[in-house]
Amino acid sequence: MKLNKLHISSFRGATKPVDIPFEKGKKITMIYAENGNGKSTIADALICLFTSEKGSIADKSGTDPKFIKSLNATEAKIALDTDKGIFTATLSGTSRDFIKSHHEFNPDLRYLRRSQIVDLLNLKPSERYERLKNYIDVSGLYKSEEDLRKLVRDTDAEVENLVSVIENAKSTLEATWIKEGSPLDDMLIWAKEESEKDLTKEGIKLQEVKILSQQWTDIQSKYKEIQQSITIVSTAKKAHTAALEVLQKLQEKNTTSNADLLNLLNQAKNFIAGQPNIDACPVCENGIEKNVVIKSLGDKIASMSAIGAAAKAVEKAKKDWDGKVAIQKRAVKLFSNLLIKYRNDISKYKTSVPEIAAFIEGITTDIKVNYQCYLDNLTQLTSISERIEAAKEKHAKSINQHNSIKQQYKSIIDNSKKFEHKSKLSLAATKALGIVEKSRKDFYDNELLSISGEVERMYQQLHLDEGLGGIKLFLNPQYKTSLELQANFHTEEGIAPQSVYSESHLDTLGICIFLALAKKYSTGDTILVLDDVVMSVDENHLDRFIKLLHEETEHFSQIIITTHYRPWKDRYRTHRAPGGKVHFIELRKWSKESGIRVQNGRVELQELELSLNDLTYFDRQVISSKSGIILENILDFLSDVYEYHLPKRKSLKYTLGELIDTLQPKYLKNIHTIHTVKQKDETGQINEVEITFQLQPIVDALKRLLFIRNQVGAHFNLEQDASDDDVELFGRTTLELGKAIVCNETGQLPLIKTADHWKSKNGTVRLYPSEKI
Amino acid sequence: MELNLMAMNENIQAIAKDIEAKLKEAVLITGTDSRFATNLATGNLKDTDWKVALEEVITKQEQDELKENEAK
Repeated sequence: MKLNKLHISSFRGATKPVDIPFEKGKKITMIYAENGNGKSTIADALICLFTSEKGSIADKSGTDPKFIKSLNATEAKIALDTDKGIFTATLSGTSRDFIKSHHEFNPDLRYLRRSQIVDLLNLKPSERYERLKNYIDVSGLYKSEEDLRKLVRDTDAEVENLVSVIENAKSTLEATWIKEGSPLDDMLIWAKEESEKDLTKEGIKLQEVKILSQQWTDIQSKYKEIQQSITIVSTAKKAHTAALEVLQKLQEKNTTSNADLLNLLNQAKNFIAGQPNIDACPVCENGIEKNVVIKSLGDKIASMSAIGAAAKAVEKAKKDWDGKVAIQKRAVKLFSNLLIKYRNDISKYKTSVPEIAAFIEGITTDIKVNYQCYLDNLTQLTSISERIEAAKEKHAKSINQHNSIKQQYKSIIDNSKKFEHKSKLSLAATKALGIVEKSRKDFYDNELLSISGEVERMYQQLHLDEGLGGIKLFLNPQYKTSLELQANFHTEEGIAPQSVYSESHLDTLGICIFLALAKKYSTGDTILVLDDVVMSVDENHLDRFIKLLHEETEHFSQIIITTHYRPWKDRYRTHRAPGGKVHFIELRKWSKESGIRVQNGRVELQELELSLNDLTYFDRQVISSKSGIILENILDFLSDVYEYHLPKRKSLKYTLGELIDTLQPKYLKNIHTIHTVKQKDETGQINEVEITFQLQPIVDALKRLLFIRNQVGAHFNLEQDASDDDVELFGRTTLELGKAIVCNETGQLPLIKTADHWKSKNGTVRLYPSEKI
Repeated sequence: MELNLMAMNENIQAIAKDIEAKLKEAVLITGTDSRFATNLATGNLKDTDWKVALEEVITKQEQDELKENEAK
């Protein structure tokens, strides 16, 4: 994926809309700025755009995410224009989550901030694992492994349970077997035979004796019922007799009583009671006393009502008695029927049980005869019923034992089969678990070994022959989620690097771990963001780090570096690093009113050329000054390369004059560069041609113009002899020297030594000879 | 440092396929379940699924033994 432009508005420090362009063909973008000018805003914008995180604001505790939007802003917007489309993220209102544009292709972005490096190394192993687990996390696989582990556990429990069930069945069976006298010398053979026995006849016999037993129970029950009914009938009969006696006594007292008279008396009583003044009988006209007559009539009427009630009582008692007698008769009839049936069913035992013969023969169709027959044979019948009960118990026990043996034997056989199957499953599951577990652990080990190897390679590139390295990341075998980090320190091996490594060594180690991880899981379209990761690295290590970073660019679509570390920027600017491969952006002083201010950075030669070609204003001082600095840089480089003699001095700072004097004619005549450039011929075909630059004429010209640097470019001077033409010539000659030595493509001096020359990284510029001649 | 899910998933899928091959080689599964490796990698292989997969082989072996015994 190729990046074109990043647009940020109302996001953190971007109080005004700002565009950050990405220069075509340059895979490294360096954003240089002093602290507080918006570097992290740019890095965080990319993090918010392509990840679910909020960037550096999340590093600090107590920070309020609402400040993701710029002060007083209502909507923050981030948009990255790429060759795969424009990716946008918008944060509106009070929402704390960005709304992002959807794309089929979702770029992968890795970012590293200095705080993360420090964290990564200083964290406890378990916390380090948490931080890096996404790189080695196989939680899905582990979940399936846990389910397999559950199956092993469950199956083992089932096997254990089956063993217990089988043992219980065997124990129960054994008790019966021993009780039976341990027949056939083998319990299971015996149990099998017993299980296979046909107990149909035994069952029929049991059924027969059960019927006889029930019949005898019913007979006894019915007999008891008859005995109770005799008492009940007797009571009912007595009640009837008593009622009859009461009636007879009442009738004896009232011989003339009848219903018409009762009616007449009632009418007479009502008539007399209804007359207010009556003192004579309406029939005989004899004098009467009203109240006396009414009372007499009342007594007579009452006496006649008691007879009626007594008659009703007699009738009721008779009815009740008759009912009880009928019930008794029915019971006796049923009793007789039960005896007949019992006689019929028991008849087959007449021969084997002769004492019941009298009963069998005595039972007829006559109820009374049968009743008496029962009473006459009760002793024999009771005795036979006891034998029936004994037979019933014996047959039931035999069948129950058979069923029990059958059940236990079946349990042993069935559960033994299950045991065999479950044991196989347990074994298979355990083996499978071993394979899964080992594969997972091997994966961890291999992944960490591979990452460790890559970290070690990178670290050795940075710290060759320094007694450091032996980097090893591994999971602590005792703890599933504990990521250990070990390294060597001179003679000590396998120690925690944070305890002995210097801060800068730990910084580079953290960066190497990050780069190794980012590289391992890069899709090729991965964007790498290094947000202010280098704080203080010495010259040698900085050169090696820059080299390492440039070598790794091929694994990423874009590397975006933000830094406030000036030496890093200056390595590129002064052609000591491949600045031609890097797009420079400088951020000017930030303010709330102007927001982030972007300025394209340039290397020194570009700056000089621009000043020389400025048609609007010819700045003598700038041209002279820049030319002087460039010359110092190039001459310093040549004196290093050819080991020219310089005055011994503690500070190692030399004047331009001292540096140029080292280039003596005897050396200069041998020094030249050859540039390989692509040129179109007359047919339009592109060919590679070599152009040679001799340094001596350029340096000779510069020696004559060197005074301009001090006179115009360095000091206050009212009497300047140098004309504008002289200044321009000085500038253009310096530019000529720079272009003769610096690689036009990489922007870097030829720093790589070969047998007979020095070459630039891509080999298009060669500086001859390799050593002073 | 966010996870590159795509690269990671490919990794896990690769291990899952490797495990499936080892289980087949050890005659613990038949490999007839085309989703086995994917389910294994994504945590969707439940204990019951493992049981079915492992029992497939065991049951087949038991049936073969039975046939062999019957043939004798």
